[in-house]
Amino acid sequence: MLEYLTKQIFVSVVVLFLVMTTTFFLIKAAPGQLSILADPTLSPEVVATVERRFGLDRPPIEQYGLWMANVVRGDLGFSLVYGRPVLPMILDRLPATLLLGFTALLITVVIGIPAGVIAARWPNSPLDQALSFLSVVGLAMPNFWLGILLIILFSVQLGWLPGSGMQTIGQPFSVLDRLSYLVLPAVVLATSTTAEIMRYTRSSWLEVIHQDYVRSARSKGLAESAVHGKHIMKNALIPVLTILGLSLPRLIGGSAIIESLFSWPGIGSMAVNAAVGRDATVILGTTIFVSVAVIASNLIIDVTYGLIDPRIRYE
Amino acid sequence: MSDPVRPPEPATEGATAVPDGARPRRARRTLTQVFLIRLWKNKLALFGAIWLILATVTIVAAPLLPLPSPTRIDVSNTFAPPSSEHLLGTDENGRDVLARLIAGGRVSILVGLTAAVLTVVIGGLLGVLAGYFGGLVDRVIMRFTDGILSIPVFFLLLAVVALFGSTITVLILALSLTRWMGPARLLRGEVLRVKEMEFTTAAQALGAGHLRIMFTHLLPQAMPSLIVATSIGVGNVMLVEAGLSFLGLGISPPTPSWGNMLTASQFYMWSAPQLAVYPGIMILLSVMAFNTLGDVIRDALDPRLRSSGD
Repeated sequence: MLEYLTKQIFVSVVVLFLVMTTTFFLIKAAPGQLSILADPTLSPEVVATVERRFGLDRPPIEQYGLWMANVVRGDLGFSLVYGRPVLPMILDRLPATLLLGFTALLITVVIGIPAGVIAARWPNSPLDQALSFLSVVGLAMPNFWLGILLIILFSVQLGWLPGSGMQTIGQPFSVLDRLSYLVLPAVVLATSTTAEIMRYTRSSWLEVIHQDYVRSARSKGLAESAVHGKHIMKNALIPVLTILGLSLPRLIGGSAIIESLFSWPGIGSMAVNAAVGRDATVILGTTIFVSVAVIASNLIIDVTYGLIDPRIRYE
Repeated sequence: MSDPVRPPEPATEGATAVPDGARPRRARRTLTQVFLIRLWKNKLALFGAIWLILATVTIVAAPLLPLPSPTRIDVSNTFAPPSSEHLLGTDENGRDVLARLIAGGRVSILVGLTAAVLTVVIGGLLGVLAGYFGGLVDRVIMRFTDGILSIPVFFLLLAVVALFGSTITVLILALSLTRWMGPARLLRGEVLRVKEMEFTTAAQALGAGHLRIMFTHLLPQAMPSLIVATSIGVGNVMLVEAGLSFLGLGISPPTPSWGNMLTASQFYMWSAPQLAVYPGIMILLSVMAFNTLGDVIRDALDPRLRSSGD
C-alpha cells in the first residue's frame, strides 16, 4: 500500500512538472507581447521597468528556473492586469467554485446513480429506454446552451430564479438566497456527468447481475430487492467510483464556461477573463492550481478504492 | 466535453441472442451488413445518420442555394420574424439566420472532423508504440497519458487560444493536442490484442521491421476501432469548440459558428429567445448523431454482440 502510494505520488509530481513546464513555455512561445506591454503609448523606459519588475528581461531558461522555484514555494507571481499576487486571487474565488463544484457532484451522485440502478433493474423497459434517451441527450448537449435555455425559462420568462451572480446585492447572506442562485448553474454543470454516471452505473450493474454469486444469492431464496440492494450494489458501484474521479477534470473544466455564463465569481470565470485579457500569469497559475487539486483528489479516490475493495492488492 | 473513456452500452438482452441451431445456419454477414442492421434497429442512430447526410448535402450545396449572404448586415431589418425571404428570420444585425446556421455548421463540422482525425492520429501513434514495444516505452507513454487525463485540460486550452490567438489552425491543433488520450488507450489495447496473433509472428519470422509490422499488419486490424474513436471524437471536439467560441475564444466573428452565434444570443434573451434555440439544436443533433453512430459501429464490431451465426 505504502509502495503503491509513493508510486502514485511520484507519477503525480511528474505530471505536474510537465504541466508547469508546458504552460510556461507555451507562454514564452506565444507571439506578440503581453497585454500591458502592448499599449503603444508606453515609453520604452516604462516597458523596461515593467519587464524588469516581472523578470521578463532575463533569458527564458532563467525565468523558468526562477518561476518553478517560486511555484513550489506557493508563489504564482503577479497578475499582469491587476498587479495582485495570483495565489490570493485564486484563494479568494475558491469557495465559490468549491460550492458550485460540490453541489454539481452531489447532483451527479444523487440522481445519476439511482437512475442507472433503476434502468438496470428493469432493462429494456420503457423507463430504461426513456432514461437512456435522456443520457444520450445529456452527453450531446452543450451544457452552456442548456444554461441559456434555463435562464430564458426560469429567469426571463417566469422570473423564479436569478440567472446571474451568487447573491442578491445589498442583502445580508441567507441560505435560501444563496440556494436560489446556486440551483441553475449547479444543475447545468451536472448534466453531462450525471448522464455519464447513469450510463456507467447501468452497465456495471448489468454486468454484475450475471455473476455466479448473484445467482447463488437468488437460488438460496433471497428476495429480489435484497439481491439488488446487497449483493449487486457493493460490487457494481466500485467501478462507478473511478469514473466519478475521472469526471472531476470535466466538472472543473466545465465550470469555466458555466461560471462565465452565470457570472459566478469562481476560479473558472476568473480564468476565462484572464484568457480574454491575455493575463498570462493568472491563466498559468489557475491551470496549475486546478491540476494540483484534481490530481490530489484522484489520489484520495485511489486510496479509498483500495479500502473499499479488498480484492485490490497493490502489487 | 465528453470524457474520452466512454461507457460501453451493455448488450441488450434478447435482442441479438439467436439460439444455436434454432434457425438454419446463415451465411456470415459482412461488417457493413451488421452495421446496417444495427443502424436500422437503433432509431436514434438512424435518425442521426439521416441528419448527417442532410447536413452534409446542405453544407456542400450551400453556395447553390438561393440564400442571402450569412454576413450581409441589414440594420433596417433586425430580429425579423420568419418570412419567405428569411426562412428563420434575421438576427441582431439583420443577417439571415438560416444562412448563418449553414455557414456556422460548415465551420463547426469541419473543425470537428479535422481535429478528431488529428486526435486519432496522434493518440493512435502513441498507442501503437506503447502496445507494440511494451515494457518501459509502454509504461512511460501510458503513465503520461493517464496523467494528462487527470488534469482539467480545458484550462490549458484556454491558455493556448488566449496566447496564440484563436485562429482555426490554432484551435484544431490545441483541440487535438489535448484530446488524444482516449484514442491512445484504445489503440494500445487493440495492439496488445493482435500482437500475439500468428500473423505478427509470421511477419517477424519473415524479417519484417518494426515499422512494417506496426503499420501494415497491426494498424489495419485496429482500423474499425479508429473509426469509432473518430466518430465519437468529432462529437466531443464539436462540444468543446462550441464552448470556446461561446466564450469568445474560439471561432471569432464575423465567421459564424454555432458556438459564437450563441454568444450573441445571450444579450437578446429577453427580446429574441429564438436566436438562442436554433444553434443549440444544431449542435445537439450533430453531436448526438456522431455519438450514436460511433456506438452503433462499436456494437457492430463487438463479436459478442454479432447476430451472425458463426
